[in-house]
Amino acid sequence: MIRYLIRRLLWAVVLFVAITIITYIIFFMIPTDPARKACGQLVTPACVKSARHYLGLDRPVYIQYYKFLERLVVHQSLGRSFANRQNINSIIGRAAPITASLVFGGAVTWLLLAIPIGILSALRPRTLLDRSAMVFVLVGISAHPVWIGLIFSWFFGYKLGITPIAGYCEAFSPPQGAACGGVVQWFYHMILPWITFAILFAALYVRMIRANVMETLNEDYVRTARAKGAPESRVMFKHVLRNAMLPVVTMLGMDIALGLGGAVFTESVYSLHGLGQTLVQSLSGDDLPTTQGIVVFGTLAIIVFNLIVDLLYAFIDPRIRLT
Amino acid sequence: MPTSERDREVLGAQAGLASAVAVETGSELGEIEQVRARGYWEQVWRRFRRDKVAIGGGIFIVLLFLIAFAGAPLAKDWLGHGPNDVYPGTALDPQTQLPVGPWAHFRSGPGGLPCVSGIPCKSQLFILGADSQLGRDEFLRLLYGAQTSLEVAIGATVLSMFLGVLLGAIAGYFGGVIDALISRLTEIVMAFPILLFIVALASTVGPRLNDFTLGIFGKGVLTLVFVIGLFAWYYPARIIRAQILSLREKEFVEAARMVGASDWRIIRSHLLPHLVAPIIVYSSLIIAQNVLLEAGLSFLGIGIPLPTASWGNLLSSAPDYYLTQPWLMLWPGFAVLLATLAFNLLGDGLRDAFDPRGAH
Repeated sequence: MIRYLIRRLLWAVVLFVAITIITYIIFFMIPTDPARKACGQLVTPACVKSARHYLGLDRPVYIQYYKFLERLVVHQSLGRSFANRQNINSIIGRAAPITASLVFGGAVTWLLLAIPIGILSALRPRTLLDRSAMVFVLVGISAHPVWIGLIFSWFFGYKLGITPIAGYCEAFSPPQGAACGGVVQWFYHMILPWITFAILFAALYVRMIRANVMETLNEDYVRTARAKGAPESRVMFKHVLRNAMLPVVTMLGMDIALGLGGAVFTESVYSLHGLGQTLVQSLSGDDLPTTQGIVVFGTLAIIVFNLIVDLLYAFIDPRIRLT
Repeated sequence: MPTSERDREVLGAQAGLASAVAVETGSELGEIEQVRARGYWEQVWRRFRRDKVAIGGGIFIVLLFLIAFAGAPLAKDWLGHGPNDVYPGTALDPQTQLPVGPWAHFRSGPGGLPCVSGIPCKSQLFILGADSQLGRDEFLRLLYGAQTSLEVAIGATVLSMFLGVLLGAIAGYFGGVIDALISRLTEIVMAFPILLFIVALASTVGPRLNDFTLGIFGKGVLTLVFVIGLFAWYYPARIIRAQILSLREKEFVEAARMVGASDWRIIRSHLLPHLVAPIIVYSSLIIAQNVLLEAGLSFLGIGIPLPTASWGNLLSSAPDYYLTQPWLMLWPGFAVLLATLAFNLLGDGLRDAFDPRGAH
């Protein structure tokens, strides 16, 4: 257990270093001239020169990277935006809760959809329910989330008028002058984004849960449990579902990480100013530090999240604890 | 899949026995029908042929290619204008000043400007209406967008499959330190928020690479191929590595090694043929994903640069006419849905055809 923990922790550190190197290369070596971009509209030779010094571009690459890492680790600072000189930490601090509520709410939604559908269609294969579930899976993995979002917000938001078309509400402490606020409004505004975000993953999970449950139902220990006369509910919950759901836990960790990237699309359809939307804005404004800050933050969040899932997994699955 | 039909298949391994039985039971010499073992590909084709849905997907894909690469230029000739031609003053509804709706006839002079007396004026037909205030033909853009989307999806798939098969095969075959290195690399790529990186890389590399077209691709196609392919190889690499790990312990590899075949020869002529099935199946499924990814990136404005048409940038201009012309978001969305669905169905069908045991 301790060895497993240490190995995972060391791996997380390696990942962190690898990822910061790659982001550094992508953002400060590939673009033609970051100093020019830092000056924005006011490109004068003097400005470019001072910006180059300020960004440390006149020093060797490894020193630049070291400075970047030092600022990140020692000062926990991601730098300042080229666009408005705001502290990127505070930009992310405003955007992250929105993305988090989209991704975690979306994960709850896709599990609520996928677990019952997946289990039922595994228990009754080739019935109408199973076949419609399979059609849902195919459409879910083939339709574009952006398109689903546009259609949903047009149909439910505009035509029927039962949900907001777009926008976000702070659940706690809405800013002064905000149009809406409070938990109820937050929930109401997030319903469509959650469903839109969840459909792709729900489809993948229905397929996975169905396959897992079907496979587990054929295991010897399930037959043994039935032969011993265990009631069907006990067989299902203690033997089948418990084993069929183990891979789902691992996948969930990875997919929430994946979803953090996928949230870009949902956010841009519903104008939620989360990390994805901020990222896209910083891209169109050539705001390199903000882009980089979001990528580094997102990656860090994913590393930490995966670490937590790995540790949780060790508690759920006794086989890992023994090694 | 009905089992009775499957049982009737004469499998390669049993063919020797079957022909012996046929010889013994034949009443007269010369009347015996020749019994022939079905080859691997023939069996796969027989199983695939029974899967009507997958066949439908395959036919749709062939049609899509024909429409994109032959139909689009034909339609352009027939309609007399191109996908990037603008009709700023004329392809607008005279009352509302919004882009014209489906099946619109209008007259316009040179440059798409309103008719003036003395200058020749031509009648134009926009089958699906105009795409925006600029007045480009939505129908033609949809057809030419299919070209772009297919080029990106297939190019990126070829690149990621090539990298994945190469790295996976090397890792699986040589094992040891090489395997450890490649596997760790795969894990690093997997731990990335890949979409964030693709978005970021497309935006920093894009401006430099977009003009690089090799003369045959649209602008920006190669950027997306490169960016997507560079991050999507880990999935095929893992699958191929696992396959090679089990294959390299087989007797035929041992035999090949014993007669002195080189590593390269063993990989090429003994291992790769076994990998054709997973490569084909996963290529089809990854193409489907890449169609979605291209549309997503172009929707965010970092994929194919305008005025080149792609399904993604058609979708991204649609929300401007969200309330008045919602059909503008229907067409590209449907195109993406159908193309992705077809590649997914084909991939699933091929998987079942190659490996009937895995089907349920």
